[in-house]
Amino acid sequence: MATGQKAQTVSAPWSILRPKGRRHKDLYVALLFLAPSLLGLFLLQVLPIGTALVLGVSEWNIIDPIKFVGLSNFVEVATDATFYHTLENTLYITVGLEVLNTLLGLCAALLLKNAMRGIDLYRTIYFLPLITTWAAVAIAWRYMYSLEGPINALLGPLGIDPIPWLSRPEWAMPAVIITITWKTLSWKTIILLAGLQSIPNEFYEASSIDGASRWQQFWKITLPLLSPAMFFALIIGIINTLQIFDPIFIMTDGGPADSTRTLSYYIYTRGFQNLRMGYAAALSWVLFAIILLFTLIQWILQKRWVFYQ
Amino acid sequence: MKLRRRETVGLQLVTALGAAALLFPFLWMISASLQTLQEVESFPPIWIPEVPQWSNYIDSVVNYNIGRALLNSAIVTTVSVVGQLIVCSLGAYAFSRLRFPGRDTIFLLFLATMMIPHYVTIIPLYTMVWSAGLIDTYTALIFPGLFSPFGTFLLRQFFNQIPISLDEATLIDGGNHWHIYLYVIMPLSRAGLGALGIFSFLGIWNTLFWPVLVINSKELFTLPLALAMAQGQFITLIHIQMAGSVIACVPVIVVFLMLQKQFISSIALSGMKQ
Repeated sequence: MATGQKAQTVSAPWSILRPKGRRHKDLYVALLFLAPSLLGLFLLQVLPIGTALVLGVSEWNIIDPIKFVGLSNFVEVATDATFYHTLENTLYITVGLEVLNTLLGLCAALLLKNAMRGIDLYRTIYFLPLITTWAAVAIAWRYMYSLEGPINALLGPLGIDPIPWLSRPEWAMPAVIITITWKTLSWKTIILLAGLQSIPNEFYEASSIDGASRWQQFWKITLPLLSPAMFFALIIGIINTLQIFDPIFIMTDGGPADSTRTLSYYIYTRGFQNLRMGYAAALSWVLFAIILLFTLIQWILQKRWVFYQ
Repeated sequence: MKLRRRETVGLQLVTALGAAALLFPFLWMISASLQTLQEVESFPPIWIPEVPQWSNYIDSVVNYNIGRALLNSAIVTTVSVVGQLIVCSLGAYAFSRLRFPGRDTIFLLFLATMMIPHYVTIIPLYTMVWSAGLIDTYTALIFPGLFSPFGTFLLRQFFNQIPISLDEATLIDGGNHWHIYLYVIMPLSRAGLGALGIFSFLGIWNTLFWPVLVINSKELFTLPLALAMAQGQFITLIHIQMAGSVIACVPVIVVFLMLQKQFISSIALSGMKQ
């Protein structure tokens, strides 16, 4: 991105003819080009973020006048048992999704890397779940999980008794995790596939000549050289999981017995089902802090396992 | 890496098995959408309907609001995507090609807002829309889609790759910045515009959270909202709901098939998730 600017200063012949005030020369044109973006930035980012700060220290049900309450929302968060429960759920879903997505995504990337017959068709099929509408597929999954639905029907011949997927607290979260994995797996695959394709083939050829086995090549070449892509996918993956909404809204509505109510869904519950805008805003800042913390920890830990060429 | 023949067959088999597992929900969705209510509720499940009930599709469009929702989704998505491409490309042009005080600071501000989770801004945004009396309007559905810091950032990266000498040629020919934007930058950025277009298309077509908040009346339901709301109302009409779900998925699959290469390379490039 620096090259564009450099080229501008080096190769613009007429710019030498304007000795002073060059930095301002496009100000009015820039204002015209930027006006819609600045308006959007103000209305959709700056103003809402400022309002969120105010809401965080207020009590407001939208109808009655807004009331300043200081830090009491945050004090309430700290003593809210449901909040801690949703935090546990959030940890559960994040770890579950990252483990499943990374393992399966890596397998899928290793498979799709090969030039085999029909590879274009396979790639299309693997990427299909990612692009389709959450609402549509989540409804399908909901029915597929029913006690007499197709999933239990498929498991039956394997000797597995029908599982009450979405109606029991202990099964609801695994069911949600499986569905989200199915939907988001290929995002991980795309990132890892790009990482795999950037590993030079010579590394494999050279190590083959030295007598390295496939297994050794995987551990000593593929994994270390893939670690930057895995790190990147891990950070973005966690940030996305922390903000999940659609599948929970459609499949479980946070239930049964709050077993699938993640922190992000709890924000929705408090804000829009109980109309506690202030408390929901405070929770959203907590979510923001958690995202920052997660990212920071990973950034520090990456030195231990991410290998940059 | 050369593979032996037996390995190739094995790989192909595993890949095909994975593809079958990923396709299964879609296949079930299509099958269920063509069954009668009696068939879809039977146990063990019927995998292939005896007589395909194509009338389920007509029924869902005409009698269960899917037709209207399809129209709403088409309107909202088209206006938002075109608007977003215009707004973002204009902004990106300023960041890539113009010099003005505070340029880098403002650009940094754009990037910084991308770090803030959606949940922080969506509550105030809802209260703003509510205070402005815009609940239950197309405006509420459309205006948040018109601007995207990510889109501005993505297009700026593409614009920066276009040689500055082309701008100079236009200026020497007596053109101005508007001409450069319209006749140089935009035509040469088709890949970038295509990438942003498909991201915003998928994002807006599929979005559920925002419509859930700002839309109450059936006449303004978008497709995802109509499907989600049908959940409670027609709880037993699985076959109709599945027909609606298939209808919602077809446009995104068509667009994806057309722009697949751009979509995948852009994810690899930017890490964007719809």
